[in-house]
This record gives sequence, C-alpha cells and structure tokens, in this order.
Amino acid sequence: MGVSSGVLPQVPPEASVAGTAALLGIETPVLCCIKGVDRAGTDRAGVVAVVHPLQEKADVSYRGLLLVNWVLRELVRRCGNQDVFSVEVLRHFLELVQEASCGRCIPCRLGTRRMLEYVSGLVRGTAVRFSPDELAAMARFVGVSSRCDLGRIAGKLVANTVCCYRRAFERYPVQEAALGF
Amino acid sequence: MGKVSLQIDGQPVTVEAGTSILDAAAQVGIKIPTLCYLEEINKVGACRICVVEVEGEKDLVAACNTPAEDGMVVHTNTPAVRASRRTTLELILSDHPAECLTCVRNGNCELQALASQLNVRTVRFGGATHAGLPRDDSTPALVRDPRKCILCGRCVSVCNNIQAVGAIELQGLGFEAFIGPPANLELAATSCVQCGQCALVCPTAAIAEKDDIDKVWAALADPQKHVVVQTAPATRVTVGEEFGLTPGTPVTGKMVAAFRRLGFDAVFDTNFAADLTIMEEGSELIERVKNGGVLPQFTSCCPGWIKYVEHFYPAFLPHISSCKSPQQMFGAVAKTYYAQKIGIDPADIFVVSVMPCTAKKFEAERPEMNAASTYWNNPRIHRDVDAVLTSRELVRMIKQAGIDFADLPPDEYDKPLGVSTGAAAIFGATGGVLEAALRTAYELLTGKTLEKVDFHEVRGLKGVKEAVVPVNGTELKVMVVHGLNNARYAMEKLKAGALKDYHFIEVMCCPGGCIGGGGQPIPTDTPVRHRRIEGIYQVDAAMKYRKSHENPAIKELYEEFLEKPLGHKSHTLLHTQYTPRG
Repeated sequence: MGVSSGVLPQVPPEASVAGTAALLGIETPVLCCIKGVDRAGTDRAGVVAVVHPLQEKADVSYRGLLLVNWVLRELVRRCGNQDVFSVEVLRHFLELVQEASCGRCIPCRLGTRRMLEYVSGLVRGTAVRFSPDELAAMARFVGVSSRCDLGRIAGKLVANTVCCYRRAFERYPVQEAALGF
Repeated sequence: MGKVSLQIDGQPVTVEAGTSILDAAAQVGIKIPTLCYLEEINKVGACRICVVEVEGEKDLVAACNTPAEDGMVVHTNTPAVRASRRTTLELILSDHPAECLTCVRNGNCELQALASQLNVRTVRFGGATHAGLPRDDSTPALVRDPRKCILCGRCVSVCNNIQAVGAIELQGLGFEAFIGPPANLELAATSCVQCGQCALVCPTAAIAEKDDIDKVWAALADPQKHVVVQTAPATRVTVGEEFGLTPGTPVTGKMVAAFRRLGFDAVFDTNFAADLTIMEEGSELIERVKNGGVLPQFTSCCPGWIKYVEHFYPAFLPHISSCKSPQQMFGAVAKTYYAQKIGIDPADIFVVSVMPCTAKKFEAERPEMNAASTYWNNPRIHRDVDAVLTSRELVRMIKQAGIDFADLPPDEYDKPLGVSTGAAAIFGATGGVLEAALRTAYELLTGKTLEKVDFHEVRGLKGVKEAVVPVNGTELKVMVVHGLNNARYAMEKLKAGALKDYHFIEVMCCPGGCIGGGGQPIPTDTPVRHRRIEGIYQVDAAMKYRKSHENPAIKELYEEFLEKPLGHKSHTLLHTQYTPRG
C-alpha cells in the first residue's frame, strides 16, 4: 500500500471520505469541487450499490470515485506537464468509459460520447469553440442522471477535472470555423 | 402488502408498497414524462427522461423503476430535473435524423411529442451520429431503420418476454451499441415471426410496417384491374381510433363507405372467409376426433403463430390445422368462385387485404399461397392475395384521399363475399375462433340448436384460458392462449405429454388476439385492448346470424362450387402445408 508505490491502496469499508482521501494523498480542495460531495456527504463514504426491488439503484460509490480520481491524479503528476497531460488523460478515461458503457442509458452512452468528442476536438485542435463551463455542465448532468456508477462516476470525475485543471483546457487552441461540440 | 406515504411536489399520497414513484405521482395528477417506459413491457429506467429529485438523494432517480418509500419527499419539476430531461432529450436528438416531416410516425411519434412537451426548440450538441446505418427491409412485413432507434429496449423486451422469440437484442458498447438481430443478420434470416409487436411499441419509427400503399394506389388506377378489398374482423373496431373515436367503436359501415370512395370495385369481408374457416376447421376437428387423428388440433388462422411453430416446434406441425387463414381462403375463393361467378378473368382480379397484422404480409408472400394460379393453371394469376395493408396503412390512405371518415354515412358490404355472421366477427379477439368453432361444432355434432351462444369462459385477456364443453356425450377439452410466450407454455406442455386429453387449442400470436395485432393503431395498450374486445362482442351481438354454418353465402358457396367441407376443391383451395424452418 502507498501512494508513492503507485499501487492502489486498500481502503477499509468503513473509512470516511476524509480518511480515504488522506490515505490516497488527495487534497481536500479537489473533493470540494465535486458538487454534492462536501462535508454533508462524508457519511456516504463506503456506500455500495443498493439493489431495490424495482431498480438497480445506483448510489455512487464515492470510494470508487476517489480511487479513480487518485489514478488520474497520479498519472498527471508523474507526467510532469500537468496542464496538458490532464486533458489527454481525461480523453483516454472517456474512451475507456465509452468502451465499458452498456449503451442503455442515454447520459452515459451519448453524454460521455459528446464529452469525448469535445475533449478530442480540443486535443486535435478542431474544436470550434470551447467552454470549460459547458463541459462541466454536461459532466455534472451525466454525473447525476446516469443509471449506474459508471456514468455517475465518469460525470463527476470530468466535472472535477475541469474544475481543478481549468487552465489546462484553456491553453488548447480553438479553431474558429471547425465543427464540433 | 403495506402502504407507504410520501409527498410528491408538496402533495401527500399514500400508495401500496412497491408502487413506483411514477405511478404514485399519477395518483395525484402529476404526469411525469417518460420515453423508454412501457407498462408491463419495459421498466429499465434507461432513457432517464423520468428522472426526479428525491430529498436526501445526491443524484436524480428514475421515477419509473424507483419504488415509493415511506416519508419520501419527491420533486418532479425543479430546475435540475428540467435541465436534466432537456439535456437527455437534446442528446437523443443529436443522434436522430431530423426527418420528422417525411417520417411514417410523423404526428404519432413519442420522441416528437416529448420534444414538444419539454419545449425543446434547439439542439446544442453535435458530433458523430448513426446516420450511415443501413435500413433492413429484408422481410415483407417490417422495416428496421436503426438510424431512428433510441435504444429504449422496448422492442427487445416485447420480442423476448411477451413473444418468446428473441430475434433482436442489444449489442455493442457505448456509442456503438445498437439493437438488431444477432451476428448482424438481416431480420429475414432470423426466427422473427414478423408479428410486428416491436413496431407497435417502438416510440419512433425505428421499426415500422412495410408500406404497400403505393402498390394499392397503382392497382386502383389501373382500368384493367378489378380491385377487391377484404377487411379483417379486428379492423372494424380500431380504425376509428385514428379519426378521434373511442377505441373499440365499431366503424364497419364507415369503413365500407371509405373503400367505395377510394375506388375499390368490390368491398368484401374477411369475416365471410372466417365463417368458411369454421366450416373447414370444425369439420377437420370432427374428423380428427372421430377417426383418431392427431390431437389436440391447434388453430391455424394466425401467421405469426404458424411461423413460430415452424421455427421452434417443427416436430409438432401435424397438430396444426391444415386450414389456411381466412385471409388466404378469401384470396383463393375470390380468384376462383367469385371470378367465375361474375365472369372476370381471375388474372385481372387484384385482391387487397386490410389486416390488423404485419405477419399477414409475410403470409401472402408464402410460395404456396397461389392456389388460384394452380387451380386455373394460369401463371398470370400471381398471388391469391396481391397486397396487404395494415390498419395503420388504411388510415393513411383514407387521410391521403381527404375522406372525412368521421362523417361518412355507413354503407354495406357487397355480396356474396361480404356476408358474414357474429361468429366470424369474434375472430378478432382472443378466444373468438374457439368460441365460433364451438357454436358450429355443437350444432353439427348434436343436431340440436345451441341456445346460449356466448362462451364467456374463453373470453378476456387472461393469458391461458381453459374450458370443458360437453358435446353429444363427449367432453370437449379446449384451451385458448394469446401472446407467443403463452403459446410456448402450451407447446412445452404438449411436448411433455400433458395435453393428451385436449381436443382443440386456439393460439393467437399477439396479446389480446388480432385486436392487439402489430398493424393496429398506436398506442395499443391493455385498456385499449379491453375496449376493442368489447367492440368486437358488440358487433357479434348485433349480427343477424351468429353461427358460421348459418351464413347463407357460405351455404351457397358449398352448393355452387366447393360441394362440401374437406372436399376435393376445399383441399385444393383452402388447405395448405407447413415448412419446418428449424
């Protein structure tokens, strides 16, 4: 276990968000960027999916979110060039989400796809315009409206990344006449 | 089950535990918008249009499949909810062809209606689409247009759970996910029975009936053609819905009048052929019972059911009556008896069927359905039935012709193929064929008059109905099933040897029978099915004759042409064989 080793740490199920975050070396401001996860939300650490009689009720596993978040942060940190690489990492993450999405739920299937296209367009330099706020709005929508943890975690994580690395997104050149999001 | 009390938009409501938020909201007059949800069919919560806010929950929840809980406080119309619904809809529209004006579902599309309801006037998003996906028009009955598919999953659910066919499934992941036959097969290459239940539940036009309207217009415009039309029993209680009438309202006379205005040379009734079916199928049953034939005998009126057996239970095809369906009997009689009677070259007769069913299009194209051509030894006579229109297509034709249907004065069918009985009328509802057969079989076997013609035990929407009818010392054991999942239940029992003492089993492919057919007006749901069935029995009760063997035109047909049920001409024209498909 340990952040420096790059191995995912084992988090006890009863661990609080604050405790887990500390274990993972994640600063509190990062968490505050996630809408809905503030001090009032700390008691949801360790929450697992609850299966309701009528629904696979999709409470987000915030512990899982923290772990994914940690992986991304680690990758960005190790790259050195945080501003640029955070956008690249996000692109790869969204590709991964698309590959894993079952395709049933619209926020996940189409929402993460449009976000992927948005971020890809930015990286390729083909985005017609770019507003981090629009991306964050879409991400928050995906984060609260998706059917299962995949979409919900993805949305929250993108919103978090835009919030923390806003400058990185703004450094990409935006084409005037290109088509895109 | 206990009760739970909650608050929805400030209104207190108490419901049975397990009730969804959607249903609880409906009880206090709050209609939460839905898209993928379909009662009794689909409650997967995939589209996320019905999301609501629940106090204490960090994320939005789908109202259609989240159970109401005690003390829950629900908000269905907050800025967050409205924004989420709108974004979801815009995302769908960003990958949906904007072809509303030319779409077959224009004016009756749930996506279109939802965009209007949610006041979506622009689509902020662009990007990749599925515009390049090809249409699948490989079957004679259905057209799949995957570009218009929103992956709601209703069709998959109805095909798997209600019809037990499983011809289509959700495949792929993420944006590449799509619904279609496995292994990229065309629909025609699958075990799809072409019942059209998928088209009936599709919220858009991703699956729709194949349109044969132009074929019929062309025949009507051809002076060489004598164009006759036959109308299936179930169409007369459904077509009016599309013109603002209450579901189940009988519009037989108006429909006949509309056909005359459309230019048909003769307007006939499939009910005539339904009476003929009873004569043949009833006689076949009596013969099987008397001579130790294969029992139980299954009905053969429904082409979806026939194809289902051919695919899934080919070893049991000898149990199926050899009688053609009324549609095909009509076609064969029209191009032989009727042609001869009025002195027209049968090759010039063009038979149009108006059916509640998409599978009838497939049936009409079966290679063996060319009895008239064989009878006259004339290859110029092509099919016994030349074109099949669903109820929905007929409505479109009437609208296209500018006919004010609601105000049409009623008219009467032409003779002789327009004369029918109440027994034929009830073919349109589940249990109807069996009831009609019982009315005739009883009198033929006992020689006595059946005073009470209504067999209530085989009526209604229960999936499997059974009855024992004493007839001339024999206890006739019968069963009625509708919906292919129920048919599968009957077939599995047959396979297990549990139906040995049964005599006659009616199977209708579609839930509710033909009144719920895949070609009927949309929406077709359970309350609508109930009303249509009521309409069918109203038609029956109002008829002068209520037993098929009393039909004077049928008597005349046997006297002048066929000679007797199961006779040589009957076998040539009215009976068929089946194809094991595996």
